[in-house]
Parts: sequence; structure tokens; C-alpha cells
Amino acid sequence: MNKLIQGIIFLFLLFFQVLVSNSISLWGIITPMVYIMFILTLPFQMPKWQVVSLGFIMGFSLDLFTGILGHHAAACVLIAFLRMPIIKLIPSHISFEEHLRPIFWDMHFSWYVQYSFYLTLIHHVFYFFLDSMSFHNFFLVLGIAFLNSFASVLFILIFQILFYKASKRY
Amino acid sequence: MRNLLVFILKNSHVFLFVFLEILCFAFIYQSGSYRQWVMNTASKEISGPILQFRAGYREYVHLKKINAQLMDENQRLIHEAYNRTLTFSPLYLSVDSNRMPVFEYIHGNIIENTTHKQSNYIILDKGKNDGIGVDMGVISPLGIVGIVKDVTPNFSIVLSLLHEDFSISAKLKKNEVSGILIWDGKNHSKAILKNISSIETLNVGDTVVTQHSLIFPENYPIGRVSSINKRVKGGYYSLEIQLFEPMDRVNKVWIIKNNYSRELTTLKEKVDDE
Repeated sequence: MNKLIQGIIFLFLLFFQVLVSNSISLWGIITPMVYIMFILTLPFQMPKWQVVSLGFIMGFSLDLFTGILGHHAAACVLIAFLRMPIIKLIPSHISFEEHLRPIFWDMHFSWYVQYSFYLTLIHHVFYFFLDSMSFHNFFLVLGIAFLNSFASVLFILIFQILFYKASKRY
Repeated sequence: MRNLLVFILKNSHVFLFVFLEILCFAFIYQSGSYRQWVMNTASKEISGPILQFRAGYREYVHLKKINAQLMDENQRLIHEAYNRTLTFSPLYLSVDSNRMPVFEYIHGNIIENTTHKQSNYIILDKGKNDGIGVDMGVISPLGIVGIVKDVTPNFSIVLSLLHEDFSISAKLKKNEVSGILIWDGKNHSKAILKNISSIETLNVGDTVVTQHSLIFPENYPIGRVSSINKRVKGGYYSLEIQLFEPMDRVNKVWIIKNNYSRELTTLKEKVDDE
């Protein structure tokens, strides 16, 4: 059942990214990447190798819809790998109970914003530098990555506030 | 040995991560090779119809604007056709004989486009089956858009004007001063025309057009000079060009097929060999 829901979320986010989000081009520079929410919301208990593989599958599926293969996949694999270290890095006041998931309603507001922002930022910075393949316009690319991160985090939070609800204690 | 096995199993995700990253980088670095072409063909044939669906919807939404653009273009073409003065260039003379015209135009739609990256690509809904080949120019009603980089049976990937590797020769319409048109990655509505000799008189507002080449027809508009950078050393200026075509909103394009490109390249190679 849980796997089915994950699958539906996967497909929904993939098609949302391709059909809606990729057509957004705010001032020609901001294109929010909402699809990484799939990696952000995977359960804490999921084996790490599974998270990394799912990250690759998600990134690669999106790569099929853009020009060159490999960009999204590389960035997604990176954040899928760095997810656990970052979760441990951010101080939290509550202990991670069994039933909690890394979604907005389950965690503290500041914890969740930090968590999603760090991962999104890593993803975007890596993605944009991979795309530019040089440090020629270093600060410009960094600035674009930052702006896109704000937009993506905003979208991710709005999505979760609208479509998710707090998990119940078993 | 047992310890090693335990270590590998315990850190399987690290190995998986390294392996997948290497795989991704292999994909990125191999762009242009045959294997990448096969992957691209497969992927665009799968994703193409979905992108086409999206493009169809977007086209419907912007129908009013597209119609207005077409009317403007028609008006310009009618104006040109009826006011044309005879030009005795070999290009026009060839029309009356049974030779093929130099350039043929194939219309296409953009189904995927980005402007926010440093290396932007465009995907078109026309491919090899429609006569598209690698290294053909792509223009829109207002200006140039890019050069075809790769084709699949039904789709083609275009190196956008907004790509670091993009460079063509262009000139000022007024005094035929030529330079190299590139994009510096900073602003998606501006390009750079570099290697302009500093002894020429240059003004802000001069029109920049293409130079005759195998890819683009001569005198096709590109943009307008918006500022002149005089600090460049070595006797060359670089000009900032405001593009006529808003690259984030371009929709309908023409792909330019040069009927003599193969003949000319073989001739060139022959001369080079001797």
C-alpha cells in the first residue's frame, strides 16, 4: 500500500515537473524544481541504498524530457546520498519516533525549512554548475541557483501544506 | 575476506552512490557520441509525445499572440514581395533555371526550451523523417534561434543561441562590419558581438544581421546594438546585442536546409587535401 502511494507520488511529481513546472520561466531565470520533493519525503527508515537508487531513477526519468542525459540524475543521486547526513546535522528538539516521516506536518517548521532548503540548495548548485561546466560566470550561476532554490522550497512547502497530512501514531 | 564483505555490505549505499555518479558523468561527457545518440533517440521517442502534448496546450493558450505575429510577418513578406527590386546576385539568378533553391525552409514547433541555464537546448517536433539533419540553422520570425545538434526520427535537439558553445559570424547591416556572435551566459535577452574593429563608426541602435554562411541566409535579423564596450584591448570592441526574439517565448520556428551544403563541404575538403 505504502509502495503504491510512493509510486503515485513519483508519477505525479514527474509529470507535474514536465508539464507544469518546466514551462514556468519567471523572468527567464526561475524554473522551480518541485520533483526533488519525492526524495525529501521518503521515509526515514528506508534503506540508504534504496533512497540512492530511487533518486537516480527519479533524476533519470526527468532527464529523458530535457536535452542532455545525466544532469538531473547526478544532482538527485547526490542529495539522495546526502539526505541522512543532513538530517543528522540539523539539531532537532524531538526524537525521531517510528511513525514520523520527513514531511511538513510531522516536523517543526524551522527544522523542515532548514532540511528542505539545504538539500534543495545542494541539488540546485550542483545541477547548475554541472550544466555550465565551468566557473566562468561563478557568481551569476550561484545567484541563479539561490533564486531557484527559494522558488523550489516555496513550491515544495505549499505542496506539502496542501496535499499532505500529519502521520498518525500506530 | 569476511570482514571486507561485511564492510562492502554495510556501506553498499556509498558504493552505489559512487557508481551512479560515475554513470551520470559518463552520460554527460559522452554527449555527441554514438551511444549517447542511441540513448537520445530512445528517450526522445518516449518523451516527445508528452512534450508535444504540452506544446499543443501552450500553443492554444497563446493562439491570439501567435496569430498577431503571423499577420505581422505576412504583412512584411507581402511588402517585400511586391516592392522587390531586381538583385543580380547569383542567389536570385539561380531561381529561373531548374537548379534547386539554396535554402529550403521547414516549419517546426518548439516543444521544450530553457533559458535559465548556461547550456540551453531546445527540442523541436520535427526530425529526420521531415528532412532535418545535423548542423541546420533554426530561425524564428524575428531572429535566429540556434543550430540543430542531433536528430532522431521524429524530433531534433537544437543548440540554442543561449549556449556557451554557440558562435556564428554576424555583421552590422549599416556598414557590413563583421564579428563573431556569442552568448556570455549572463542575460537571456542579450548576446555579444565580438571582434569588431575599433576604426569603424559604431552607434547604439545599429541592426545586426547574419553573414552568408552554409547555415544561415544572409541579412537575417538578429538584434540591435544596445551598448558598446570600448574597454576591450587589442583594437577590437565587443558589442552588446539586444536580441529581437525573446528567447523565453519563442514558439514557431523554421529549420533551414541548405541544398548545396554537402557539395560545398566536399569541394572544400578536396581543395584542403591538395
